[in-house]
Amino acid sequence: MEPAPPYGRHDLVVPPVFFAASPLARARPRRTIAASPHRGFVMDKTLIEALARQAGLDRALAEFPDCVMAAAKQAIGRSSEINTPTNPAVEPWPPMKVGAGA
Amino acid sequence: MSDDLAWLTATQASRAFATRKLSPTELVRALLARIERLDPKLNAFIRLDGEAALAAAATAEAEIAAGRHRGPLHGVPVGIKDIIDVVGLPTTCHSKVMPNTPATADAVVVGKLRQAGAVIMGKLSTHEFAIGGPSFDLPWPPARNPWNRDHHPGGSSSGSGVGLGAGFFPLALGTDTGGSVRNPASACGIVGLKPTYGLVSRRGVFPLAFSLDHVGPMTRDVADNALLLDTIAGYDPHDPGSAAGPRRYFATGLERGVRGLRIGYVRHFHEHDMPAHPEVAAGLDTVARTLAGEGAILSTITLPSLGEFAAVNRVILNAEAWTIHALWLRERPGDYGQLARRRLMPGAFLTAGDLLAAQRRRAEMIAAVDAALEAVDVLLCASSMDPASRIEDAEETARTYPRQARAPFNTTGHPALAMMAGLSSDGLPLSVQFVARHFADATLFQVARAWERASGVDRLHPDLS
Repeated sequence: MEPAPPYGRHDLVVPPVFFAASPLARARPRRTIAASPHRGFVMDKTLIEALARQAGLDRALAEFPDCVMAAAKQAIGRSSEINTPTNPAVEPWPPMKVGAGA
Repeated sequence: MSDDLAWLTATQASRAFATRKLSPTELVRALLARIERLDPKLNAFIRLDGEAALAAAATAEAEIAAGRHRGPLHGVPVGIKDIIDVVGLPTTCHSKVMPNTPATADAVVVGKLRQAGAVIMGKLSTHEFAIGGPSFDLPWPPARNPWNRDHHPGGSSSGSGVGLGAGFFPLALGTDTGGSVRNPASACGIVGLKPTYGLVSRRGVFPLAFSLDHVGPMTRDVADNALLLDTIAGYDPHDPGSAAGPRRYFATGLERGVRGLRIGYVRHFHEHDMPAHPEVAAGLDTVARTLAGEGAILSTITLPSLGEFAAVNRVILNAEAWTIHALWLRERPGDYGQLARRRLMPGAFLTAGDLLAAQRRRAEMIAAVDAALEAVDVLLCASSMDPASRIEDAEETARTYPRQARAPFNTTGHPALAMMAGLSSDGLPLSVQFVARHFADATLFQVARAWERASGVDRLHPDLS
C-alpha cells in the first residue's frame, strides 16, 4: 500500500480549469504514533468471563453469554485500532482546567 | 390536507401566520390528521401529545393576533427525540429500563423552544438509549424510512428524521454522539446539524457519552436549521461542557454564496478508508463540482483514517456509556434490547489505559482537523457510505451502519452538517457532509444553502399518498 500523504491540503481535486486558484501543497509535521499494545492480542473465553465477573456482570454472563462475549471482543478490537502517541508530551483531551483563579 | 401544509417550512409557516393566511391551530390540526393517517406505518412517534399541541397552538394564535409575536418559531410545530425531557411526559429513551414517570422539568433546549413560542408535538422514536437500534425487541417498534418503509431511516434520532421526511412537523430536535443527528438526516433526505461541542446545552437530555454528546437541530431546509440553532444555542453555566462566549446568530448570511470560499474535499474517507457505494461517491463529486461552479475553490484534504477515528470515538463512547449504564446492566440486563446490551457492555472490558490512549490520540486528531481548517474554510466529505439498508435485514444493517464519516467530528467537536446530495436509482436519499471550524457553524449554513439553492434538494419529498 502507498504511504498516506501528510495531513492537510495537498492537491487539486479536478483540473485547475474549474477553479480560481491552485493552492500549493502544505507540509505538516507527521504524527508520532505507536501501534497499540493490544494489537494481535486475543481474549479467550476464560479471561472474558473473569473480567465480566470482576465488572459485576455475573447475571448478564449467566443469561446473555453471547452478548458478553460480543461486547468483550468489540472492546479489544477497538482499542487495538488506536495508534497510541509515542510522544510523552501528548496529553489527553480535555485539558485540565482549574478555573480563572482569584 | 393539502401537501402544501405538510411541506411548509418554519419560515413559510411563520410568514403565513403573520399575514393571517394560516393560523397555528389550522396547521397543527392538519399535521395531527396527517400523523394519525401515516404514522402507524412509519412509527416516528413514541407519544403524540395532540391535546397539549392544540392548546399551545391556540395560545400562540391568540398572542400573534394580539400583536405579541415572539419570533420566527412562534406557533411552529416541533418534535422532540425521546431522550430529551419535556415536562409532564416520560422520557422513555425507547427502553423498558426507564421508569414510566413524567419529567419534572423541560430540558434547557425545550425551555428555549417554549419561550420562542414553538408548539411541542410529542416525543419521537430513537434507538434504545440512542445506541441500540434498529431493534424489534423493544416496547415500541423502530421508525421506518418515509422514502421506502422497508428501509432503515438512520438513527439514533430516527423519529426526528422520519417525521421531517414525512411532513409531520417542520422542526425537530435530535442528539448526536457518533452521528445520530446526521445519520437520519442522510437517510431521510433532510438537514441535520451537529453543532460545535458546547454550543447547545445538554442539560435535561439523557446522556450517552458526556464528552461526545451534542443536541442538534433537524429540519427540511437550511434556513430553518439556522433558525432552530439560533433558538437553542447559548451558554448554560450548569452544563459542564457548555462553552461561554458571545451570543451568535446563525440565520444571517445564508445567501452569501461560496464564491472565493476554500473547500477541502476529504476524498480518502470514501475512496480509500471505506470505499463508498458508487452512487454515494458520484453524489459527492456532483456536490463538489456544483460548489466549484458556484465559485468555491476546491482542494483535497487528508485527515487521520476513518478506521482510527471510529476506534477512538468508540473507546471513549464505550467507557463513558459504561459509567452511566453499569448499575442497570449488572442488575437488569434482560430489560435492555439485545443491541443496546451488546453496545453498552464493551466499556466493562476497557482499561484506564485504553481510555487515556484514546483521549491522547483524540487531542492529536483535534489538532489535525484544526490544521486542515487553517488551509480551507470548510471540509466536504461523505456522511453515509451507502444508501439506507433494508430495516429487517439485520446483517446488512450491521454491515452498513458503521460505514460512515460522522463520528470523527464528535471526537473533535467540530460542527458538521449532513444533508441530501440527491436520490439513488432506487429512490433513496444520498448524502453529503460539511464540516467547519469550531463555532463557525454559520459558515456551514452558508455552504449548505449554496448547495441547496443550486440543486433544489429541499424540494424533493417522498410520495406517501
